[in-house]
Amino acid sequence: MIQLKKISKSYNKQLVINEIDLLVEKGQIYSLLGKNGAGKTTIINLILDLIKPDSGEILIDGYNNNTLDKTQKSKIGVVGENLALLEELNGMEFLLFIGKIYNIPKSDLINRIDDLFNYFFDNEKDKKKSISKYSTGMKKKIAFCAAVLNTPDILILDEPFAGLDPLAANLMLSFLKKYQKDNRLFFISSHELGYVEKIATHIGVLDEGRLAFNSTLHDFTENGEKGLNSALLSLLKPDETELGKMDWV
Amino acid sequence: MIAYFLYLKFKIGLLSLKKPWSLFITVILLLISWWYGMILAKFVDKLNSGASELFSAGEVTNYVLWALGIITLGRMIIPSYKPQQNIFPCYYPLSRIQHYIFSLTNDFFTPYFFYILLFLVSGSYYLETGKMAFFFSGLFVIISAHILRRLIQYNIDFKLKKNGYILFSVILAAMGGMLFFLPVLINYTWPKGVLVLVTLLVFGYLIDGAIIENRKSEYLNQSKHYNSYIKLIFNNAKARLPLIVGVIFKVVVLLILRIKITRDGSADGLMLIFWMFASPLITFTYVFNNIWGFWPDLWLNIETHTGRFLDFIKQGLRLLIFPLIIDMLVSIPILFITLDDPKLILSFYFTSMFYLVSFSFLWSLIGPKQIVKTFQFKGSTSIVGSMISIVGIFLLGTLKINIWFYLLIPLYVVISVLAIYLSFILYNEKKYKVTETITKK
Repeated sequence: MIQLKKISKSYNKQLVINEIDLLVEKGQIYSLLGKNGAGKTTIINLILDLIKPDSGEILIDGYNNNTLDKTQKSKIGVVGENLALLEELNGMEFLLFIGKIYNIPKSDLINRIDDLFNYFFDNEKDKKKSISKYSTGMKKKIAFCAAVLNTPDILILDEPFAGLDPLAANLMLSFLKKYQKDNRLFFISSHELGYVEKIATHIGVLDEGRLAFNSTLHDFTENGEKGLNSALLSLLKPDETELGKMDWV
Repeated sequence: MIAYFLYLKFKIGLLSLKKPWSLFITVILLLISWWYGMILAKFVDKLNSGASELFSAGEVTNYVLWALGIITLGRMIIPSYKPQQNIFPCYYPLSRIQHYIFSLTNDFFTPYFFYILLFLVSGSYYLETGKMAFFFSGLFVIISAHILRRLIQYNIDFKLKKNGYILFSVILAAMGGMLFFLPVLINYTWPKGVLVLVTLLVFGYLIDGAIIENRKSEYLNQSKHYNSYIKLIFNNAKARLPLIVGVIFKVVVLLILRIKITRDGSADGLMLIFWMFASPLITFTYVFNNIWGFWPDLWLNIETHTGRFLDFIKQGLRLLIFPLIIDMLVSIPILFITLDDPKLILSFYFTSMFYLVSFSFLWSLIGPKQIVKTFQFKGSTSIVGSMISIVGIFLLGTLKINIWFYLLIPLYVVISVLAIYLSFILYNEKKYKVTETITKK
């Protein structure tokens, strides 16, 4: 369970997150939507305790997120905005390294790495290829593999589909569907509404530092009558008056 | 066929030298091997002329030969267990003897044996007496130790026929007896060295023929995990270059100072500068006083996966091991050929190392800097941290002045431990600043 209680955060005196309350429970796939710069990544970094809130409290499974011990942290898998890839290593070495941090038994580790590589990568040679030579999509895939290697109960994904080709994005989607269990929760920030629509159970929309919407996907799309895209546009109401003034276009 | 095989191995070795970093390391190791051989020879010659009553030349040679044997044997498990390479599996159309010779040749045609051979050649070249005895004793010791290692590994890595296990028990008992009756390895040539070697070779051949299937299991090669840290350094251009420049700069300055000290006498001012460069200071002021700035993704991984400061220390130490070994291999010989005071050299070097390592975690935590370029105007490490590191090493250099200054050593140990303790306390408060600084866009 992830709970945000009256969380606020500002940068250079500009309020980015304004007293947000949010509860994501096990079994949910919560997707946070919003414009660029709305504060989605800030919320993820706050949950991960990478930045400190100005006020408020964040609880993970009932514990304050800055008091989590190693065991509790190991239940969280992350693909952050910064993929945190050790680009000096090759794909195999990186996953072995992450597995070592988690103390995953050797035989399990090798099996999982093989399975993940076989599933997400086309070429066996990619294992031995330096991550620095990976394409953007490959980097995203290897970061995702690292995030799920330890079978965490909480998966926090910042733009997981960005940079992936449709095939890879669908592979990731299928993986997430299979990975989803009643005792697991996913917290996803994404602009790829087509994929979000296929997987999310709950939607949050962040606008001007506040949660403009926070409920189920069903409610958001008005029982499926609206598409996710049009539901989002009707909520955020993009201002297109400026476009009318551009005679030269 | 074997000649062609050796030619291919040689060619692959040469091709690997195309990378400037590999070439640099190879040259450094070649120099170090030659250098150590020379130092040993000079030392043994001095002892032969009655320079010390503590050790005899024979004792020192014996210890060195034992060390060579133990290191060669120990490579099996240090830094981690490395399975025996089965270069040509049993189904290859090779006779038993060919299979065995290929396997042996492949083992011995490696950089490790080349550097050891160079050490033996250098030692025997500079020795005034007993040149051939030293060279051949060393050669027989390393070959015997390696074949013994192979014999042990046959039992671990392969399933053997029953006679293989019996043969192994016999050779193990024989080796045990040999250790009892042959504690001195000087003149380990004819007949004892040759007899032991031939026995080991014959038993090796017989056990090699007793393999009935390939490896019992595949090992997850632990050394690869260690290699990851070496790769984290070598493949990180921002860290690699300052470290290389630091080592070269250090060697040049130390050699210039050494020449000046030998020619003009050891003036205290000059000696203090010499001490500063002799310590691993430069490694820290260039890179390791800002570990997370150079490896931000390592910080993020540990922060998100464990969030324990102890894990940061573990990872930092693993990163530090290799650069510190290089620094030690370069510094200690220069110190030994410049000064005739092993107690002072070892006390100074290892105290300074402990002090710098301990404080590096503190400076990396309280004074992080984002590394954008290899060499940047704002500096790569905390200025305050660098200044305090320099002052600390400068003060430690006073060990030379008076015996009473040795009391500084326990003081340095205490403040170093306190620095680590302080890092633990400050971690929760400072971690946000570190993350913000090193991941800034």
